[in-house]
Amino acid sequence: MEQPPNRVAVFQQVIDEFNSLHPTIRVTQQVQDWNTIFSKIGAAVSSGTQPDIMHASGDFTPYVRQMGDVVEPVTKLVDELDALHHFNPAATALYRDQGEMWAVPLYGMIQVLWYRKDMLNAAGITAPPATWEDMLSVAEKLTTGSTYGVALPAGKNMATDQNVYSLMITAHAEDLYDAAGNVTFDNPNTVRAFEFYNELLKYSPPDSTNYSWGEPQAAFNTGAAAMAIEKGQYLPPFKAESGRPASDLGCALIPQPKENGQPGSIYYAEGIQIMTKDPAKKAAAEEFIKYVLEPEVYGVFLNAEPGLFLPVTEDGMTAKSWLSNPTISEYKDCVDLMLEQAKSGQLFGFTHGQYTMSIGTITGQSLIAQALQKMWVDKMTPQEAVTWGQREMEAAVK
Amino acid sequence: MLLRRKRLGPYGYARGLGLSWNRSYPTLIGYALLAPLAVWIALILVYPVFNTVYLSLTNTRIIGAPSGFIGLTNYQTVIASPEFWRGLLLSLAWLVGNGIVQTIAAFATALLLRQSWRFARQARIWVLLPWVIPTVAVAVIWQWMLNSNYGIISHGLQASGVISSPLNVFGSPAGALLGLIVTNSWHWFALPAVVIFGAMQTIPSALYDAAKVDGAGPIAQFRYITLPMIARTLFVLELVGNLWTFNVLDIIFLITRGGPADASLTMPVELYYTAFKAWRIGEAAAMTIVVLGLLAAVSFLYVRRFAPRGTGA
Repeated sequence: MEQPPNRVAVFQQVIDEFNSLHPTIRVTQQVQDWNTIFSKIGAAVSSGTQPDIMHASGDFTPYVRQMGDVVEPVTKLVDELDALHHFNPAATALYRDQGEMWAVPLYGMIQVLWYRKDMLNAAGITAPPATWEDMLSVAEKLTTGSTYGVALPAGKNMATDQNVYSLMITAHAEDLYDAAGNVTFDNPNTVRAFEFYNELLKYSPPDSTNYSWGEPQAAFNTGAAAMAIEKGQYLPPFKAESGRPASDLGCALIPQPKENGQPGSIYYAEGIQIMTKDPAKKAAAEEFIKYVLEPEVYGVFLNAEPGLFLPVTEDGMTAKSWLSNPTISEYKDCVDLMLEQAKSGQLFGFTHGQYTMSIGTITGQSLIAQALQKMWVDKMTPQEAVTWGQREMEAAVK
Repeated sequence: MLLRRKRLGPYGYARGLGLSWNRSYPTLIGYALLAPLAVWIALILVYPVFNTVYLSLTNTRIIGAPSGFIGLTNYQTVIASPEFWRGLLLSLAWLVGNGIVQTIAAFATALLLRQSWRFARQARIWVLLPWVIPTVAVAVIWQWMLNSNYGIISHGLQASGVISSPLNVFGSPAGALLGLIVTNSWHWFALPAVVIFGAMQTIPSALYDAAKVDGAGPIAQFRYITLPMIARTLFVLELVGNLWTFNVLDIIFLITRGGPADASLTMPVELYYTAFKAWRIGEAAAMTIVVLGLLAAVSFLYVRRFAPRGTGA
């Protein structure tokens, strides 16, 4: 389900090498579209023609599991791999439910604060903001007639959900559900995060309400905005698109409130799930997953999207094949910072030690982003917007 | 004779008229050859509609997951839902907006293409350019052009002093639907322009010559000759064009996803979100059937009221 040609090519390279080393096993890659796979997988499962192994994600795996006994638990395999490679606990947490693991995490993605050192320096700011209060002050200072302090997505999309959620985590509002599975979006900490986002949006371009992933990055690289909150996809194109040296790209942990804050950021770990009951195919699938996580093979795999795909295993972080990638070596400080930030990473619906099946209906409709738009566009107060979000979420999961 | 023919069908018609097997044989062969295609069309048209009706009577949430029969509950939910009526209203605004912009642009272009000037032949080909550009590219082009930071339109207007602050089209509730209408009309106006131009070319020039002799100016010529002579073409164009326009999902989804704050959430986008984002397939199916019924009724009334009678171009 990763369609960009560079990713498909690297996945194919890993598959080809595996096939040549394992003549009795044949792995073939089938590229699917994230936009259509949710409807297509239902038909495939109904007709028993689903793939033996499949891309897993935080919301896709529970979605497929709702179709019946189709995703195989991989707890034993994950335990075995953990003993060998040591997974980041934040990565495995996404796939743990009812005492079992339902997928093997393969790569992680984490948001950090990106900033333009050249623009901050020109304004006499020598250090990146560490707190919400600092961030607001920097954003205000850097907003002039032609530039904005920050570029934030506020469209009805997943990018906005993620940005808001990162700030929610730093305000202790990471739990969308309580331990019993009830929606707990409406709480003072979420309101606090919404108030802050509302303030920040004043220093973001006027059409931010239509921004998703690409627009803030374009504004950042063209120098129209000095800060952005996003994942590692900012690294590879920075020099070419900004015309500035790599040293002008700054990165920092997501700012947190000065009072009652905590480090945090949204963290995704995509993985691989097994969907066959055939013992021979299952064994072959496990063999393939073990192969991919061998450190030097794993490094090659991560280079499918250097900077964005981060290792989820300890020995993956030291794989030469990954560290020698030009993007990783050039921006080593930022890569290390992302790995540091990943330790405090969380994902909506995946707190309290297991995931909540209904999270897909909340994220699918971008209800956090919709609540934000109620506040920013429809001029609801942060409290009213959060209450609206709570009501919609309760209706969605009913 | 015509009634009798309809009632008796091919066999009866042959027998009723006392025709021999040999004479009706070619007709039977004709039906036999058409039968597979007729069955195929019935399958691909009828099955999806019946399946949608069936889904609308169930509480299906995810395709493939267990579901049960719930009668007309989904229809009650849809009819009582303010979101459904808001989507319908936005679709109406979308339809009217596109209709006005595209009709003016298409007519103006067709009239321009009729003029004899140096590059008339080349213009007739190049005018189709927006239409052949893939929708994704159209969406990206217009998003770029209207972007507040690097959009050429925003910069141009600011540089020329028309506006003092950057343009905010797709990010504002007031501008989003309007911006989408302009974008979609730019993408599609070439097709009706060329069709109208083609219809205009079939009008005998002698009619215009005679009108000129009678003292008719360009407006009178357009009103009393051009419009009546292309009425049939316009009738079909309006019907098909409006149905196409109503069902547009891609360009809206690509640019605003129905936002901001649902300001451009037309019925097809609302349907898509209900079915594939909220995973309320049964409810989305009920919405589909209601919309299908409304479109069918409006189309029927349109045909009854506006179908041109007599001959025309």
